[in-house]
Amino acid sequence: MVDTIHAAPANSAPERAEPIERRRTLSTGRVVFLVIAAAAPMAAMVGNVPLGLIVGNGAGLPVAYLIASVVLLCFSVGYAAMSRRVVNTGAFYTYISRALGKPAGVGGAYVAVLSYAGLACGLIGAFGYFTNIVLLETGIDLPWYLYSAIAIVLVAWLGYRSADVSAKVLGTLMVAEFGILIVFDLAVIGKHGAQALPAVSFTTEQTFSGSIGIALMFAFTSFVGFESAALYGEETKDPERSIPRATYIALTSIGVFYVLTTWIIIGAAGGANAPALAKEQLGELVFNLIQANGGIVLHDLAAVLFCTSVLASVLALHNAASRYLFALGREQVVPRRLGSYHAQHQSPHLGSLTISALTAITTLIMAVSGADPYTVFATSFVGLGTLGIILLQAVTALAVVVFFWRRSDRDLWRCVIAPSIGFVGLTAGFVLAVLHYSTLTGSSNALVNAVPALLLVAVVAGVVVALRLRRDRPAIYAGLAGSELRRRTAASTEAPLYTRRYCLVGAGPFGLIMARALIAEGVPFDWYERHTDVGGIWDRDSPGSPMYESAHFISSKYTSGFYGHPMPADYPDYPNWRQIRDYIRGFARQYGLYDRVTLGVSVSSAVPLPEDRWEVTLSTGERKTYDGLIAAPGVTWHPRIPDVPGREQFTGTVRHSVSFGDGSELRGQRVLIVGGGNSGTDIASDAARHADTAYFSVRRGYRYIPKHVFGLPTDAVLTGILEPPRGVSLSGDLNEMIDLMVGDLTRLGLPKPDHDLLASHPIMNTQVLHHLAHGDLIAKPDLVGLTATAAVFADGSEAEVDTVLLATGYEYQLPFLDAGLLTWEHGHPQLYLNVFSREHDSLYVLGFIEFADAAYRRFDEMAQLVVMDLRARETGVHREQLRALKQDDHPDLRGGIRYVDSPRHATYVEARTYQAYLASLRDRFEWPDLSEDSYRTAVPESNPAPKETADLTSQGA
Amino acid sequence: MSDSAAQLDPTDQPAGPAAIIDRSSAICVIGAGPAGLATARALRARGLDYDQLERNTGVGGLWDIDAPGTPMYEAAHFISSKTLSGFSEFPMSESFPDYPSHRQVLSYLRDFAAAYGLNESIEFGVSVESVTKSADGSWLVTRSDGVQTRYRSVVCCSGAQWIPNLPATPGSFTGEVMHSLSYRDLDQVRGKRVLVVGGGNSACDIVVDAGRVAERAVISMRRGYWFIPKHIFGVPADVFAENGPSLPRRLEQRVFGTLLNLIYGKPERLGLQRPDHKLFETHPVLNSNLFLSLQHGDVTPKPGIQTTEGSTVTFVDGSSEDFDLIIYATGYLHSVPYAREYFGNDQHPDLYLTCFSREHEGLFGVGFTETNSGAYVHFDAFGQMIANYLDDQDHNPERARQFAALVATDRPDLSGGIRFDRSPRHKGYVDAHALIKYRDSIVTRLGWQTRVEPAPGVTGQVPASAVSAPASVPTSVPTSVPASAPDSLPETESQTVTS
Repeated sequence: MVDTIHAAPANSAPERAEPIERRRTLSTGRVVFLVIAAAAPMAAMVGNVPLGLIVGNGAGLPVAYLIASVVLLCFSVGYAAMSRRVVNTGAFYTYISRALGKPAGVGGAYVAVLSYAGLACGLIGAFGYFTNIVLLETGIDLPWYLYSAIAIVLVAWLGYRSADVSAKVLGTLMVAEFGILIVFDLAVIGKHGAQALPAVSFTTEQTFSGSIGIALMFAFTSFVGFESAALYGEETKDPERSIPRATYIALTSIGVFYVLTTWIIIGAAGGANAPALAKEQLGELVFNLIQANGGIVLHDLAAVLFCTSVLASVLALHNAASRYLFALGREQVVPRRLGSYHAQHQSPHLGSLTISALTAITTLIMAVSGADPYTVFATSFVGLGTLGIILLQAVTALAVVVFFWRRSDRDLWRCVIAPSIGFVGLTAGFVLAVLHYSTLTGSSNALVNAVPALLLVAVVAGVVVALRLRRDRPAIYAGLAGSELRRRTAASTEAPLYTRRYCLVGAGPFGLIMARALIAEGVPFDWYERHTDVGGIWDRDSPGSPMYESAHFISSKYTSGFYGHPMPADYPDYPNWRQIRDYIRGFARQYGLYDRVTLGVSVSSAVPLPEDRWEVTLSTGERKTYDGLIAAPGVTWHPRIPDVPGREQFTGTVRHSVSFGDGSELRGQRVLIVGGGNSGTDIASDAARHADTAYFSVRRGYRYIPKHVFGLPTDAVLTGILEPPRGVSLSGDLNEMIDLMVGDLTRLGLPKPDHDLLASHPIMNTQVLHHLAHGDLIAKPDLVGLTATAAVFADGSEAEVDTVLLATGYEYQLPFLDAGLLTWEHGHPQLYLNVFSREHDSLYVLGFIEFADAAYRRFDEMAQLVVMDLRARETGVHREQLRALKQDDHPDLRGGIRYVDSPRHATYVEARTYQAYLASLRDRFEWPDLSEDSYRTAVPESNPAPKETADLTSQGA
Repeated sequence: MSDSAAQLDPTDQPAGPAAIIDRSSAICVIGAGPAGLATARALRARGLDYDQLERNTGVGGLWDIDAPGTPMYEAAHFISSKTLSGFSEFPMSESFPDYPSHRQVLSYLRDFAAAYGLNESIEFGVSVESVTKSADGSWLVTRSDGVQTRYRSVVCCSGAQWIPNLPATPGSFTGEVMHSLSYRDLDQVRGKRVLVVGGGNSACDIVVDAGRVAERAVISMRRGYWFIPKHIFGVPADVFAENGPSLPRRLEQRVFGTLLNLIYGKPERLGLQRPDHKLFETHPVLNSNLFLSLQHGDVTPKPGIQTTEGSTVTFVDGSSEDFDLIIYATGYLHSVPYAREYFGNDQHPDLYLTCFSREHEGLFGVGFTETNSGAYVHFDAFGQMIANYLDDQDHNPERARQFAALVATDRPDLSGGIRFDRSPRHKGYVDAHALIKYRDSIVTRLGWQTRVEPAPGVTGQVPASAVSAPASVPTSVPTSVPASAPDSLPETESQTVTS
């Protein structure tokens, strides 16, 4: 009986492309097994049938089960269709959020917690009641709440450690439960013959006797747990096929079994007289029938199995509730502490304790007030829980319809009709059950009967919390219910034979990535690079390269490689610029890119012609026309030099980091480094070691992110590529973790961080902090001016310096394009998705984007976007949609994060949001997702790789 | 404080008996580095008559990077934080960074000397040739300028990091070889292929320098060590440890070791060897930069050297590589060349509580304490004890005798439950907590007064000019007593130590 959210820690992972190989070991058969086990059939029959008979529609109960089976089957058809396209790690919550919005999702999640907690409470009551009955026969007569208390303690202990009853145990129980009930069924048929299957059950009269709504509710209760199937999806080898199949098989078999068994129970209990018998015997009804028809041994077995079955269900529900709390704690829509997990057991222990406390209090109240454990306690709480689950399923069914409504790849039956039937059936069940709720509780107490209102309260609370979060903490809101689309491996259409020819400018990393993608697609193109070799900024010999000796990658080798071309395993965690240069060139060799590029020729100008064509003038004087222009000009070539008041009177040197080579240039000087970016911190560290005195001026409070946490590269740990050491939990707020590791920056004279971790380009450097703590570097506030010999800072202090080194970043420029061709704002051209010109359909600009993620894979995804557009132009398919998007689509790619207001962040996108947006576009236009293998087949191996390349690739991680 | 080449040469001994100055009621403090200064402050506070001899032209010992023969290098910083490293009643300036640079430490020491008026009793530019014990128990100090003076006792504060422990390079390496003693700054390694040998604090600092500017930087360690980062959660490591709960030692080793491995990762991941001992069983290496450099590939780790041939060095794992320069950061010998007869010829002298000569009454060594915490607190304490003891000899002979008996017979276990490594480096190594505890118990038992007065009129950092302590300038009194011939040194120098 579970709808769990995975308690895995990596929910903040921006890159789940290649996670550590998860165990994908489950087969369809095994999933069927697990799903049926989770529904606990014995508990469902023995516990629910008597109540269904009494307060439901009496002898018509099998019909209710039949209806429930059909409705749920329809529901699960839609559910499966959605799980084919959306990776499911968050159950209902994810789907509702994705289709109906995050507020609805949070509301749904609150309902889920309430429902699972309610079910767990109710079943605790049922456990006490039935254990009492079972033990009475052995002469032990203890109050029910004693047994309940024991169960609470046991479940609390197991839940704290997040111990689910192992699949093996559950499976064994399930087989035994089925076995006993089948033996019972056969025994009844053998004994009563045709009477065992009384026709009366299927008469209209019986069907609508009493309350069909309540009967339906009990029927639905009996199925709670089947929805866990989708959750096993990520553990199966072929989730898109095996999960739906497993769900259908499991649902159908449970459904048939339930209908038959209820029917036979009614038959054994005397057909139309069954409700009367049930009223008399209550929970003992089925046991008595088993004893009467199958003998004492079968009865005893059933009794024991029933108790274990209930207990297993309680545990599963308890864990479901506490994992929901945990997940919501991580998302910060419930107190964040609930989102931490136990370092050793890796369990959501605080969530578990909360649910345990809730269960204990409820049981205590029930025991003290003398309520009947079966007809009042169990009934009302199981009722509440089931209502909640039905509601969730109904809304999820709606979500499926909404999700597929605007998509071209929807299947009428699976994506519209079936989920609609599910929605109508579930909604009807819900409404009927609410209307007849007083019948269910058998109480005239208005308060008791108002319990379903709690669900409304939960929904409203969830929606309100989500809306407040959206207003107050957009970054957290943006991260809510993150879901991914499932990978697509093949495009819907074949690559056409291209007649149009394109011009690609630049052979830095992005240019190379673009070229590989064009070659793979078969797009004809000419390619110019002004330098004599490929590699862009990473070639320090390239004139004007901003590279300096101490430069290293700021993302680790684990996350930074090109698709299909991992960084060599023997590279250090953060390779230096030489290694990156060699790696890039190895990439170019492996894919034969050297054969395609024209080196030493630059593009002097490019002018648009009619019909989206371009005239390109080369440095050789040659003029050529192309059907499109793809510019990868690089972004760190043109220094941004701020105005520093008093600069003209300063007698020392003012220079920009673009010309910085290595620390020895600062030998014997008093140096001021201005700017706390990644170059600024690197150069400040060089200055600390080389200069006589080194100052470090930063304008604002940055966060300095350690390149390693727990001795492992930070990005690799956060993306789940490397596992943190055993016993370490990465729960909670990233800001908090970084702040804890790094400590109080004000001790070092730096300003306190004034922004959220994600709201500014991350500075991956702690070396600079080391130097500040050793006095080799002196922190200063913002530089406000220069005198003849000194720098003046915002706090009024001055420092005598010989050199002011501005590490103040770079400007975007497209020197070969007339500036008027693009709309520039704050020094940034306005591009759709940071790639497409909005004005010129055949102009693509690469690299004018910043995000906190390893670059090369994101570049590749952007290159795919270009290729997608090229194919649309060639084939006409999707052409108009793409054109319209380029002009009118203005998505918020900042993920709700308010980036700090500085020029550099004008093109900043939130990596996950951006990735997700590209994924949704690919999904919409049926474009395949990239993987490590994407280029393996697409690009034929060129001439045998030179030795150096072979070295690089053979050691791939 | 001796020029190791000069004073060992027997031909340099004074040709004949000269006039011996009699200062036999006074004490001679050799060296004006941190230990010498702490001792002098204690003697002065008790009004004891002393002379202090310093080879260099100013106080500060090895912290003066311009002092001839100093092992100091530009990248050097204190490895304990300013918070826990100062002399008592004379804290380091709040304006200092967490870990002061060598220049800041030197300025601190000079301020300290000035604040307590210690400079007045120091004779600069004088090195000591030999120290010999006379039959009457007095001590004859022979200076390199030939002057001989008789003292009641001698406190050797001449430093423990002046005589390099330079192992022989196996095989036939033709490149440049040097000891970290001669390393000053990164220009010495710029553009070279550099191999740094050793796993101590200097080795790490130097290889990190090389990682920045050398063509190639490799560190060779024969075994695995523990590396303690200088900051834990942004707080200096020693302050972090001090503020933590006080745990039983064995447990602390485990807890802290696990914590280090957890937060900063295991050394093995970076290609270093796994420590073959528990945390704290070897002298702690406080360095965060080595890990950073390894993580960025700026420094490459290697095991011990197997052999060499030409410029090629082969390591015990079979790998080999060419180098231009080998820097041995293999530590120092703690021998006291001018008084070797009394301190012994081991790498490390065996002294009661690491300070008091067990056999030679009136001979003390401050600065030879090999332990796992900031050193100045120990220098302070030993200075105080020596002052108390010498004062007792004048005014409370019974108590002095009690202490003398302890020095002669007491052999406490100062390991604090840590099984210190058996390497020569850790001979005589003591646990700071155990040492402090035991020392305090003795001081308490004897009823010694060890409170240090703040520098007059000052708290905290003291400007150099602020103070002049009221102490009489000792006058040299020539005596007619002929000097006994100095005890000849029993050994010629043989400082090459085999690896």
